[in-house]
Order: sequence, then structure tokens, then C-alpha cells
Amino acid sequence: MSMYYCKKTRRQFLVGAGKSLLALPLLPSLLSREAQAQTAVAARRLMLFWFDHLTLSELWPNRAAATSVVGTSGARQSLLSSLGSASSISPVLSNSRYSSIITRNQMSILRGFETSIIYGPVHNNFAMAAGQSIEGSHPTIDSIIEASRTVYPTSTPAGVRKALRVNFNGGQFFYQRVGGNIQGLPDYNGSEITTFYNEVFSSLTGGTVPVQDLTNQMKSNILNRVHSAFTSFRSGRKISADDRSRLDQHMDYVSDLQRNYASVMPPVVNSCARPSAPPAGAGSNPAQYSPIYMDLLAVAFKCGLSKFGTMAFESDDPRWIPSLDINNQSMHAVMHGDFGQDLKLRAYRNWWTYHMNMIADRFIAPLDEQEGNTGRTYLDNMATALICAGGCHTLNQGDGGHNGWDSQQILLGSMGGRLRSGNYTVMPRTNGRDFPYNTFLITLMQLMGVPSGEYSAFATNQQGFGSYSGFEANHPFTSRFYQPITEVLT
Amino acid sequence: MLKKDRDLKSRNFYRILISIFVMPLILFFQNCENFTAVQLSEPPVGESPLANTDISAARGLSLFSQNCAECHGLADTTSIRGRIANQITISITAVPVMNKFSNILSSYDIQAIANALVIGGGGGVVIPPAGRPEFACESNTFSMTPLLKLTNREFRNSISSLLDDVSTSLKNDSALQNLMNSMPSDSVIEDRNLLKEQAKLVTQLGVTSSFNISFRASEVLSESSGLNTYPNTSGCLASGTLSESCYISFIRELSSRAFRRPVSAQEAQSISTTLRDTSLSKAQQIQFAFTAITQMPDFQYKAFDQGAATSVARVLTLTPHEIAAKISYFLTGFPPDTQLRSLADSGQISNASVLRSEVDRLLALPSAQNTIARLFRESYGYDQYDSFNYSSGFLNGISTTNLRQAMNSELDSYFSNLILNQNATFFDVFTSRTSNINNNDLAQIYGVSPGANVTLPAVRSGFLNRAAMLTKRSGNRASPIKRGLSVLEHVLCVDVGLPPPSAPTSLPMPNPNEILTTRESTFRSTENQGSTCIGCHFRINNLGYPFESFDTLGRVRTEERVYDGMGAVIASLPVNTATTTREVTSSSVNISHSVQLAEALGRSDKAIMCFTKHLKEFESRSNVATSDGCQMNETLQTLYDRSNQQGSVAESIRSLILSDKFTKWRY
Repeated sequence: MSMYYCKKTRRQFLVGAGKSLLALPLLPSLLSREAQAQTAVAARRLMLFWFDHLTLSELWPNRAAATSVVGTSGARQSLLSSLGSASSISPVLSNSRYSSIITRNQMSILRGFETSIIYGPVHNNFAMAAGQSIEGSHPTIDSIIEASRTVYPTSTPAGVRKALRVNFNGGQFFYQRVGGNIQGLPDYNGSEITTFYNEVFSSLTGGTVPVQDLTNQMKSNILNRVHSAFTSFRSGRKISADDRSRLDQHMDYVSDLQRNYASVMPPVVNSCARPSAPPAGAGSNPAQYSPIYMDLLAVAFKCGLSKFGTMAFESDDPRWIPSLDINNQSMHAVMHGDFGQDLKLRAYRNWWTYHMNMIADRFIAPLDEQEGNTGRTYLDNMATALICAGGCHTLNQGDGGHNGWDSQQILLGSMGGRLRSGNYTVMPRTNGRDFPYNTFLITLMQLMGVPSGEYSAFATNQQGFGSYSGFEANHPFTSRFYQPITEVLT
Repeated sequence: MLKKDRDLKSRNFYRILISIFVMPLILFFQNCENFTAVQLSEPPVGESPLANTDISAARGLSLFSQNCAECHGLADTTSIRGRIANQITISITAVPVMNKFSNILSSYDIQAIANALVIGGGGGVVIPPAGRPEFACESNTFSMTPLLKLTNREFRNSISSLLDDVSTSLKNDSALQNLMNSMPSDSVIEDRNLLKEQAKLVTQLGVTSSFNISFRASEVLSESSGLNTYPNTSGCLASGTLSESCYISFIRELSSRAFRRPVSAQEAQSISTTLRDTSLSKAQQIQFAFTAITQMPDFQYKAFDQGAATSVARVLTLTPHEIAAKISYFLTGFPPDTQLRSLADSGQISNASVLRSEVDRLLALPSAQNTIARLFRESYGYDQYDSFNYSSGFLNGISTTNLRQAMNSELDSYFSNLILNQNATFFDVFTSRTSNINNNDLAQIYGVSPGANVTLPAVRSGFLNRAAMLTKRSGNRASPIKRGLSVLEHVLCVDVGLPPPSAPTSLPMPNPNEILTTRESTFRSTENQGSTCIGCHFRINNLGYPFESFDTLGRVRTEERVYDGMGAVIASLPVNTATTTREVTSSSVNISHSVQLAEALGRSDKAIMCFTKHLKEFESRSNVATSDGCQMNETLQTLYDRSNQQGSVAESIRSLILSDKFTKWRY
């Protein structure tokens, strides 16, 4: 059978395309942005999303996927983009925005930390933002950043909120203020979304943002889901290599279309005017207030109303999540209980996927656009950490709720190029001991520009942030205590 | 008239003559190999061409593989399928690299190879000693079943069908109709002049268009009060808010219909998790869900997945729902309707008698008419026209406005009426004189009054003698080459290939003192003894000459008017429709006119096998392969004479569906 509608051979096309590509760098319009414009330095910003307890090794790449030695500690890494598509790196990254981020080397996964969750029962604050093993000794890093005169000099406008803490995790969340003991600091829960809105955006006088046509955003989000469905279909069906190739082509076109819609989305905020208020009753519906909080946090960052935020997801009673499908259990119960491997895998996958989708669509999307003349996106100019409170354990390990080994953290963005982003980095393991998690927290503070003097002052020995009293004197990584992870810093 | 003007007109006349005769030669000989003159009165082999073919086709495949495949590729897919022994012998003599075969291959071997290359079966043709030709058949062999995408027609129908579940008026939304009508075509030309819908073609424009249609359909649907009574949602969509349980039940029902299979509660929950965004309004959530589900691969592709294993590795049976979807799209272009879904739910569709009655029911639906029309358009290619520009003098009062559409519609209705209402045989298709004519100009061409069930003059017997077929491949002047090629390629499935690069690009100038008919000019240009063209054109032209009794617009003529370069008639010459061909039956047959040719084709085993191949390719949307031979033989047997009576075409379609292989697939 002959087909005559295409007059160019594949070879002709490839040759032509190759020549075009060779010529592309010579086009003045495609010279690097830095070469054409005076770049501005963007403010450093940090957002922490907190995932309760631990995660499953089965959902993430094998440690051995990191192949190249980096630094002298024995850490290894590989480019994330070399490990495959986002959804093949992890099923919870099925939202196609993560594919785009990985392709642009703006996602980093750091794995192999030993977390203090294994030492204390009040693990919420420790795992999230504290570098201590005994409660009540040291401030959490949100408090340090909040108190930092470097991050917030005295000239900081009064309307700026120095730390935005949002907590859906049911009970009191523990933080420790600088100079104080462990205590429950004020945060915003779901029902306080209107309060959050009023307090954070009170300084904006530009009036409400006019009602926007969100059609393109909706289309973009639909196509994200469609792309995920194609990914599952492609990997789950009995199809030939030829068919798979055609599906790939179809998926590429879906991605292209999604990007087109994303690129013409209206900006979330126009000249930092006050965004629309949460609708009445939103505070009683977690499915409603969760994404709205993310919208508002994104606006707050873009408008300079804060440089730091935290959000902790609910795990005690997440049955409001559509079709979490874990036999009416709470996530927390599944994390600790033994309900069988199938249920555990489904619970972790669905819970993570749901939140990762929401983060991608509602927090990352509005920040994934150019920030002034910095030559980077808001997202790239900041760091968004997807903090996992515990370690990685495997399905056959039963109740691993407080397993703090092999902890894995995800970072989005490069803090304006200060983070050597885009890698899957596995920290060294020696004699069964992992790299101290405190070093990750110090790294975040370094990225935020907090000088060591502002956090080491609170250490007992004033060597640096955090307490290492739970670590043995002969811990294999004592030489790295109180230090940032230089392997990932530029 | 000044001499200068006369010279100019004369030069124009010759230019036109050259363009008429030389250009087709350039086109058709681009890929032909060097041919030398051959005596066509007798085959170059000592044996009767069919004497040993009961074994030679299989042996021919082996010989082809040993001697020819290195240059020509696999026998199943080689571009030289359809070559006869004569042509192979010529090539061996004329093509230097093939000369060696004159000492290797006997005339018997060459005939064996030719038999293996007969068009019709993927793996050649077998002729039992006392029987009629069949496709080579190897039981329990399966080719890989490709994953087929919904064609544009099927996609539009499927969207409309989902809207009908809510309200039958929704699909009439003008914005939606505009989007549907502006979908970029998914029909491309295959097999020279056959415009076929593509089930494997994916383009950026197509994906974008499909998405826009889904999105608009979702807007229309989300605003409809018909949702209040959407099946299996207990009326929950009537509420002002959308509860989670209601959302999941809507998702489950919608995706079951969209995916043409049951969707479990767990799967519905999973889809719901992926899609639901409760920050959106109720209407937006429904819109989001509908658009996403109709863009998902389970909707866009005809996926098989869940059937039971068979004794053959990697071959699975289709599930009842997969069977329902397959026959429904094949026969109607629509997804399964309520009755089919119900029979699939109960599993009864897997029962042969139930399946047969469903096939009958579907063939009686109005939508089957369009399917039959598409089958024949894609088989015989009557919807393509080289040119439709004529001088007013030539048209003589006939308007060409909408004439092409009228010609196509006439044959669409001709085929669907014959097959679905008249239970017509293959012979009937080539000989029936019935017609529905709703266009005055077409009626004028036929010399009848417009109307339904018109009986046309005898000269219009069968579809080959209708305006669409006669006009479609004729340019400004009727072309026996194009008409003959159309019959050879599409009615007999002979692929003569493209002309060789070595074909001459110019011919001796015609003698200006000698005015010739088109047939005479064609003969002199392409069939002269000693010509390099005769090998192919003897086969082509003699199937086109019988239609010389029709002008390029399909009007009957007894004389051909010859025009000068200015469009003035310079002569009227009698036409000659008599011919001799061995293409129809493999032995030499004398034909007096096109009606006789049509009758011969209606009885031709070659033509019946060719149609069987078209039918199978239309059903499977793939090229036929060796593994299709057994299934096609079942269809073939229903078309062949039984007690001097051919089986009906509709029955051949039934037999294809009722064959064991229809309900199996290989991954």
C-alpha cells in the first residue's frame, strides 16, 4: 500500500530539521536572556509543604539510580531527567507539570537522611522544621527565618507577614519561637481561611481582582489529567511497540496543547491587587479551602507579602479526599497499622498523588511564570520543599510509622540558581547510618540567606543549627554535623 | 486569419495533445522497469498459466523469497504485487541485474511466482484442482492487532451519542456543529485515488480539534436539565450541589458509556480522584469530567484488553463488550446502542445466533447506509476527481455546480440501497440499472428525469457506467488509461506500480495531418510493438477502451469530438469500444462494450477476491496479511456462486463478522 500525501522522506525531514536546529542558536532573538537584559536579583522565598510520617520506597526511584559520585562524602547523583518521565520516576508525579519541571532541571530529590523522628514522640515539629532530638531546646527554622534580620531587615513593610503557617493536621502543631520553649504558635487551620485572607491581604489596596476567565486554566488542568490517563494506558495495556510509539506521539500533542493553554493563562494577580475573597462556607470544606489556600499563598509570594510559608496536610481524617479509597481508614492509621500491602500502597500513592496534583495546579502553576526581569520564573527564584516527615520504608516492613531512615525530600526551584537543582541525590550510608537530616534544614536556611550566626547562636555549643544529642559520638558523619549539604549548593 | 495566428493555434493544439498524452506517460512510467517488446498473443510459458497453480502459489512464495525478495521486499508487501508472468519475463530480459534469472528460473517457476503475487491475499492465492481460487489459508495464525483510533466520523458520532444520553437536541448546538464540521480531514489517499479514513493517524491539528469538540460538548451538556435524569445517578444531579457520591456515580455511568465497557466502582473512584476539583462549580466539574473522559485513550482508541486467553499464545478472545463495540463501529460508525450494551452486559452477544440477529438489526439502521457508502468509496474510489473544468461549449447547458456531490450521492445511495435493501449479489452491483437521482444536471447526463428508484438505460448497467466513475479519473478529455487503471487497480486489485524512471519522457510528435480518436492516440503512444510501455499499458488500456462510449463527463457518445486548441470542433470520429483482455478471468476474453465488461467483472473470481480484500481492509483498517486468508475465504465462499446464484454482499459482511477470527485479537 502506498501513501502519497507526504512528499518528504523522513530522512529529508531530519536533515532539514537538523540544519534548522544548527542555525537556531545564531538567531539574535534566541540568545540567552542574560545576554540581552540586565537581570534583577529576586527575593529569596521558601515554602514548605509537609507530608505526614514517611513514604514508600516502592513509589520512588531505587537508590542505585544515582550513579555519579559528587563531593567527597560518598553522595551520588544522577540527573532526574535521565531517569525517565515524571510519572515513571514516581506515579505520584503524574501531573504533567512535573514533567516540565524535571525537563527544566528544576526538581531535586535528596534521599538518605536520618531523621530525628526516630528519637522523639512529638515528631511533627522535629521532622518538619526542627533540628533536634530532644523537644524543647531549639527553635524551629520557620521561627529562625521569621526572626532573621537578614531575611527581614527593619525596613520590611509592616504589611509583610514573616511566616505564614497553615496547618490542616487536626491538632496543635508545634513550633518553637526563637528565645522561647516549645510551644504551639499561632497558625491558620481550614476554618480560618477568611481570617488568613483578611490578615495577609489587608495591606493591599488595589481592590479585588476582576473576575477572570479561567477557561484556559481549566483546559490546561484537564489536559494534565488526560496526559496522566495516557501514561497509565500506555504502561498498562497489551500494545505493540508500534502502537506505543503512536501513543507517545499523541501524548506529545496533548502536552503541546496543554502548554499552549498554560502559556495564555491569565496571571493569577494583576499588579498585586487584592485577590477575591474565599467564598462563604469554604472554611468548612477541606476540598475547597485546601486549593484556595494554595492560590492565596502563591499570590502572597508573588506580591512580596511574605518570604516564608508552611502548609501541613491532614492525615488524621482525610476521607474528604475524593475516592482516597482506603477502606474508610485514615492515612495516619494506615501509616501505622498493618492493613495489607495493597491497601498501604494504594493509600500512599493516592494520598500523595492527590496533594501533588493540587500543588501543581494551584501553587506551582501561578508561580511558574517569568518574574519581572530576573530571567527566571517565580518558582525558580524560590525553593518549594515537599517535606516528608519520615523515612522511606518498603511495603513489607509493617508499621514503619516512625521509621526515620533513608528519608527523602523534594525541592522545586533553585532559589535563583543557588541550589544545584535537577538531580536525584542519594546521601552516603555508612555502617547502617544515614546522613543527618539537620544538614538539610541548614541547607534550606543557607539558601534563604540566613547567616550561620543567626542560627548557630541557638545551638547549645553554638557550632550551628540543631541538636545532635541523639546521635552517637562515633556517628560516621560527625564531621558533617552543623554543616549544609555542600554537594547541592552552587 | 493571419498565418501567425494559425501557427500559434497549431502550436497550442500540439502542446495540448502533448500534455494529454505525454504527461500521463511520464507519470505512469516513473517506476517501471525497462521493458522490451513482447508478443502478447501467447504467454511466454509453455504451460497453461493455471495448469499447476494449485501448488505453484505456495512454491512461488518460496521462489520469490529466494530470488526476488532481496530487491523487491517481502511478497506480502512488495510493490510489484500483481505482476503477471509476462511482465516478469520481460523484466528478466530487459533489466541487466535480472538477466541471470533466465538461466535459473524456468517458465514454470516464473508462473509460480506470478501466482504468488496475485493480488487478493496477503500470502497469495491458492487454486484447488477442481475449485475456484481462494486465499492462502493457515489456520491459527494471527497478525498483531493494531490499536485503532476512532476515525473522525466515529469520534463525532461517539460524542453525539454521549450527548444523546442527556438530551437528543444537544448535538445540534451550532457551535458544536461548526467545530465538528471543521475537523481536519483524517482521510488520505492510499492506493492511488482511494481516499481512506485513517485509524492510525494522529496529528496536532486533529488532537486540538478533538479537544475543542469535547470541551464544547461538555459546555452544552453541563447546562442541560437533561442531566437531572441521567441514568444510574438516582436524580442526584438535579441538586444544586454536587456530592461526592453523586459525582462518582456520574463518572461511573459516563465512563462506562464512553469507554464502551463496564467501569467498576473502584475504577470510577480512581477516575474521580484524578478529575475532581471541588473548588469548581457543579457545572464546571461536570464539564471538566466530560472533556477529560472523552479525551482519554479509553475513549479515543478501540482498546482490547480483558478477554480470555486462547490456545494460541498472545491471542485473546474479545469480551462481549469489545465485540459489541467492534461490530457497532464497523457497521454503523456509532458506539454500541442500548440494546447492544444490554446484550454485552448479559454476555449474550457472544452467542452466534444473537450476534447474527444483531448484525441484521444494525444493518437495518440508517447509519449503516453511510457505512456501506464508505465501504464502496474506499473500495472503488468514486469520490475523487482529477478536474472538473469544462468549456461551456462542451458542457452544452449542464451546470457543474454541486454536480460532483450529486454524482457521489448517486453512487452512495446506489450501493446502500442495493446492499441493504435489495440483498444484492456482487453481480448485481456491476449490472443493476436502478438509481436515485435528485439533481437535474445529472439526470440530463443520463437522459432521464430526476426521481427515486429510476431505471436507467441499459448502457448505465452497474456502477462502472455511472457518471461518478466515468468522470472521476478523466480530465478535460476522457482517458482510457485512467479509466482502465481504475478498474485494474481498484476492481481487480492489480498494482501495476508507478512507471519506471527510465520511461521515455517524450513521444514523437503526432502527425498534424492525421486526426485521431483518443483511443487511437493512446494505442499509438503506449502499445506500439517495440514500445517500452506496452507491458503495463496493454493491461491498463484494454480495460479503459470499453468506456470510450462515454465522454469525460459521462455522457453517452457514439462519436468522439476532436477539438483544436481554441476549443473548436475539428472532427467527429466514431468511437471503438471493443477490446480483448485477460485481466478479468486470466484467459483472453473479447469484450464489445462497457456493459459487457461490467457483467464479466461481476462474475470474475478476481474481482470478487479483490472486493473481499477491500471489505476485510475496511473492517480491520489494516492491510490484509497472510493470516487473514482463512477468514477472507469464509467471506469469499458466501460471494461465490452456489447453484448458479451468487451470495449477497450483505451476507458476505455477516460472514466476516460471524467468523471465529472476528472475535479474537493478538497483542
